[in-house]
Amino acid sequence: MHNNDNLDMDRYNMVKQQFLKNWMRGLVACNPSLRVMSIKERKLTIKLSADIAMAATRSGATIWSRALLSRATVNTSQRLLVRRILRKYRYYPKNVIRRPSKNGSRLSKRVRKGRKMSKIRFLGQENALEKRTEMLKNLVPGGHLMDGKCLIEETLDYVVHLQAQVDAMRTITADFISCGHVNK
Amino acid sequence: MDHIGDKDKFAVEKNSSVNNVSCDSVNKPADWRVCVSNPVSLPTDSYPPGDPMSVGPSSFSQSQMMNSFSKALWHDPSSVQTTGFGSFSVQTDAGSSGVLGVADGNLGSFRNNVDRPLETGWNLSNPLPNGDILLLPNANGFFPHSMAQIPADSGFITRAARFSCYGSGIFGEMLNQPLGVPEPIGLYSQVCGTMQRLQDMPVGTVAKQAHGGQCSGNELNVGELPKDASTAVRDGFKNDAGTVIHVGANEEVKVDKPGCSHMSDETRSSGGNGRNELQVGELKSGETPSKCFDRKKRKINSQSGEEPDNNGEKKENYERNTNLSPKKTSGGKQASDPPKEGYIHMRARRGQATNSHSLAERVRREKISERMKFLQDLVPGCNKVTGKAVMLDEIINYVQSLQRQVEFLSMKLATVNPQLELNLDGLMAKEALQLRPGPSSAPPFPQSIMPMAYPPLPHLSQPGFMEPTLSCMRNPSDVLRQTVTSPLSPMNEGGFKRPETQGWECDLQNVVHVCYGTDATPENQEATGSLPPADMKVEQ
Repeated sequence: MHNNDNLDMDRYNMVKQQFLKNWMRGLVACNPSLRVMSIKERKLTIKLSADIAMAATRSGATIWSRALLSRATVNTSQRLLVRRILRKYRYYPKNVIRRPSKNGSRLSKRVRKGRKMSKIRFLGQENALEKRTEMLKNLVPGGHLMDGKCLIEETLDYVVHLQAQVDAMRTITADFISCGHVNK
Repeated sequence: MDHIGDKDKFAVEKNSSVNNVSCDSVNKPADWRVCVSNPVSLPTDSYPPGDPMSVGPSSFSQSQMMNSFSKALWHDPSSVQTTGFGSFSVQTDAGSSGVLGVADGNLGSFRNNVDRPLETGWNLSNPLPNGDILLLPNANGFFPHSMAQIPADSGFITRAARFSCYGSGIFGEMLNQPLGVPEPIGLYSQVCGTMQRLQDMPVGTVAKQAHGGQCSGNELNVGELPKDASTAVRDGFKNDAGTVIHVGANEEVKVDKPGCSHMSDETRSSGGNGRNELQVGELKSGETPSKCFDRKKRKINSQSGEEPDNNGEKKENYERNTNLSPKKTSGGKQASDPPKEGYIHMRARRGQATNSHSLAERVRREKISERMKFLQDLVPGCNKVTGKAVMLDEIINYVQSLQRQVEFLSMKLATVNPQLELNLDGLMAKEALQLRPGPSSAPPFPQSIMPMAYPPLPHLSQPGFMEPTLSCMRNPSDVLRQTVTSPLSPMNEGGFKRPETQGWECDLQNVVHVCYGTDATPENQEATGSLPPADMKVEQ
């Protein structure tokens, strides 16, 4: 048990480290523009870079990461950020955008089935499980492309990465704050 | 690229199994060692150049990954009952040699059971002298011989298949405590069953099989390889050997009925029912590989970011294959021969409907519940919760809270932005210290937030959020003491903690003030969603 926990922790730390690297790369990339932004924009940029970093650590192996990245590349201003963070993997934005569609063609049956089911089901006859599944699909990026079992897998992966992201961001912000206090 | 990736995986499985074998050969009984001694030399000289599938440069990293992945399934049996993730944890390469030692004990009994089919596979591929093993040009002849020894026990098969649902960790435990005859029979039949399928079908159809889990991906590789029948058999068999070794649960469920040379024919001819059984078993096998996939994907991505295609391919293979099977099940009697060949024979359980639809439904439900178990382990506080709806509730809440935290933290960073540039280099250095040993960062945080936040859902989210972050702050302060105090300004180490924790709370208030001062209200509510409890909307 202890052995497993250590292994889990090592791997979790590696995920976190990877996320941090990606995030730092993104922040460095958009640093010059951060000064002139308002707080709102800064927050959005930081969050975006964090999300892209999180998706980049998965680098397109999961549906949610691809959906996140494609969501980011729709906006051309954000596309540079994606390109910058992903340059190591050579997943340039068009590849990233293409991959969801490629996945979509493979998933087309699933998507169609899901959509058909949702049309049928949302007639006020959903049970509690369906409602919650819908909610989860709304939460997980790319959730509407997944069917039930895939959804849970993706949620698993997404939750782990979210945890890593939150942990890493927390330590970073803590460091920033403490550094700020030290400087003062 | 995808093909190459799969071939890599294929070759690596071989290599990993052989590597495991080579490590084991020292400690194992003589007969087994004799059987295995041949493969020991394989990875060094003959396999990489002679293997049509291996791709040189990347095979090593993959062999490492596959090694660690295969090791993942051969844990200490005591660790089996840990979280689902725990039982699948994969070690880094640094620890690979150590874990190989661990894997020895687990592999021993398994090896004894599987060595004969393994030898056949190895020997088919590399004709090395070995007096114990009959080198048959047609492996088909070998199997009916071994099949005769296996009593037909379909109930055992379903039990064995069911075991796979509980994770390969348990499987490893089962192997460690040899169950005598049933266990090896299951493995025999599974291996033989796959062999049977491979032999009976043209190689082209092997590629089209909707086979569960990773084995399907491997078989797709087999289809792409030179279409020599013996080669295909060998490859498929090596494939199975590799998968047998490294994906314990997957192989377990890939169980053909004992006496598979007969049974597979039977099921093939028995129409829809046989297909149902096949598909049901196969679908069941699909469950656990996903966990392996999760682990392996995470491991691979964090280790080397160079194999995303491979991971994506594997997962897509898995998804595609397991997704196809329910459709085949519902297709039922109209399914053609090639697809059903990839399925797994599995009987309907006693007292349950044998309708194709209900079987598929049951398998699907079991798969989903299997994954829900993992989610249960992952999302803190879900251990006591039973039932899918409540579990989903918890998961949704957890995901929402995590997302809100991300928003909040990014807002926080935005407010301290003027210092952002100064500290980036320092942060790069601190990243190296992120690998703090033990539970400082991840588990205490979720576990502490859960009891706070979720039972009394709307109101206590705010203090629940703050307290664990305070506890987490203490650890970064340790980090900071080492890195910050030296380069930046000398600071009292004793007093460092207090300004920091106070700074956290003050900073929270600052953030709130800043937000309220500068931005419109909706932005604030979204950004600092975790602070005002009134804004906490928790869907029930």
